[in-house]
Amino acid sequence: MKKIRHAVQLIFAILLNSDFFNVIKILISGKARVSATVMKNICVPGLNCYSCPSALGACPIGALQFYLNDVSLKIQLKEKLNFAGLYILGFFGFTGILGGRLFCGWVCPFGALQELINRITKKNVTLPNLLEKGRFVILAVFVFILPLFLYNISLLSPWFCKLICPSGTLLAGIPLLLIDKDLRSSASYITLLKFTILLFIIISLLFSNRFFCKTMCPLGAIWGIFNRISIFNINYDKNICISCGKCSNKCPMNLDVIKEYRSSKCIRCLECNSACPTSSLTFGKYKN
Amino acid sequence: MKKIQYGILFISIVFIITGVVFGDLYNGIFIKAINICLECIGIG
Amino acid sequence: MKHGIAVIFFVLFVFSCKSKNESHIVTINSMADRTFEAVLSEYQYDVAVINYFATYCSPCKKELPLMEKLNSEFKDKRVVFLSFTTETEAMEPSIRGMMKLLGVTYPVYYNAPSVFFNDPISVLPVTYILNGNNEIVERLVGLFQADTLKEIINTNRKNTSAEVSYEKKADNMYYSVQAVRDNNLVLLSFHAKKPYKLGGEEYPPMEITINGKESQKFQLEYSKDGYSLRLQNLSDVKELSGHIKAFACTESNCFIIDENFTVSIQ
Repeated sequence: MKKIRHAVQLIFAILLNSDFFNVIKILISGKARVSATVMKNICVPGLNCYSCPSALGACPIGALQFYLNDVSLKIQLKEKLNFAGLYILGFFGFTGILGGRLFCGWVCPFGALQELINRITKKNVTLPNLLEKGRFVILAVFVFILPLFLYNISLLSPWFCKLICPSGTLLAGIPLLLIDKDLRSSASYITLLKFTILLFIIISLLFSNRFFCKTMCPLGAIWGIFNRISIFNINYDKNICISCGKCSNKCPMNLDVIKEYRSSKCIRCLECNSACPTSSLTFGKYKN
Repeated sequence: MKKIQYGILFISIVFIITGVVFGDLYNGIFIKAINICLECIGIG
Repeated sequence: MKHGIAVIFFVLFVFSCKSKNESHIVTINSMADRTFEAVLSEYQYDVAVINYFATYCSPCKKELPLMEKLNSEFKDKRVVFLSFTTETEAMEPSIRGMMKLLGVTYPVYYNAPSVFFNDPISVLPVTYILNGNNEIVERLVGLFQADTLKEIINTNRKNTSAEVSYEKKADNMYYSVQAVRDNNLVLLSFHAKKPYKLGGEEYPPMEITINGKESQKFQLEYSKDGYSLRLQNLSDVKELSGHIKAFACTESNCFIIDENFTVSIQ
């Protein structure tokens, strides 16, 4: 199962970032630019930055924040709202109700990168519960409240992207800064902040697998809400479980699987399913 | 449970379709995604 | 929680009612299918500052008021400030509202192509500085520093035309005036003080008004002896006063002299 999943992650990482033509173009010209195909209309199920030079689609969290900025602006100016927001909401609802955080485990390129970094030490410390609630705080504060309610036209910003998002720093910030020297002159204290956060996350990843997913990811927080009710879900058959605990040992998110198999922390990597000797844990259509 | 699940699925699909048909995806999503968001990558 | 949201909405409402009755003029045009050359040909300039912005771009919103400030600073000095966005008609009301909130008065264009003179726009904000021949002399990526931009504008202006400063310096800074009696004639002469030259080939001649029973206007042309004027019928007058209008120029700058003078007749 692990091998299949890594293959799927790799395929999606390449698929979602396959505008190699653009990469070649900016390498030749030395001028930063991003892919601009029609695909940018489409949200991708993963924290894959807009501004990554090869990214085909749009990051749903970025799109959501920009949309909320737009809503805020239009409320201030008393104008008609753009219905495109329904598309973004519908995207979260549709993907969420289908598989919950399935996409975290199988699609998200930044998740895959985190697993790759964690391979160096293979350590996986259980984090305090309070810290793991952090992603809901980040979702509420940086994705919803700040972009929507800061009443000042020049303060309308995608605040999560601006201050936190390590995916943006790693996949877009670093390559673009390396390529385009014009950009380097406009680096500021925010650059420093974001690089510090990225460094902190990379160091933390050496101690705990998927540290960012566990504690900070707002996209995971949204999908996590659907984990309990998603149509495709993890099913647990109490009757054939022998309580061997192998599932919990394998869980990258440090869950006590047979108690929390539908927890919002689960990323549906299905390690527990393949570890289970009696197949009491299965993935399929939701069963009670 | 099935009712809730398929209810949400149905509403989501309706949202997506309404968004695509009546919304302005060009100004809503596309135009933002084709320019480098300097502040997003930590500059500016 | 519900109350919290209600309060926030109330605050939003109150604030949004505040800036209603300000009169504000900004021209917001659609580029439609016009080219940049066509749009720029509507303006006369030695330096054009072209700024790309978007309603969703927050550094741009910091930049637009700076543009406006520089615009008023360089008014009537053959520097034009224009802002462009690739956003379409649907965003026009938002753009208008935003410009009002930010106090922008210079012309703004939407529907702009995403390629500016062969340079694809891929980063926002971006600012181009063009010279009078529509050549890009500078490309500033990201939020610009007002001082940097000002410096670029000034260096490019000096290359194309002399600076005319309207600030008034201390009297008699640019010239000295003398009046010498010669029988029933009075010889009035003006000499430039270093490093200035009075008048100049391409400037209008010096214009002098002499106060008296009937104010008289004279235009002084340059001659070998400098600017001089012979006045008659001034036998009982001991002092002359009048008004001088002229240019005083150095190698690179010109200043306007527009002031009164008084001189005693020797």
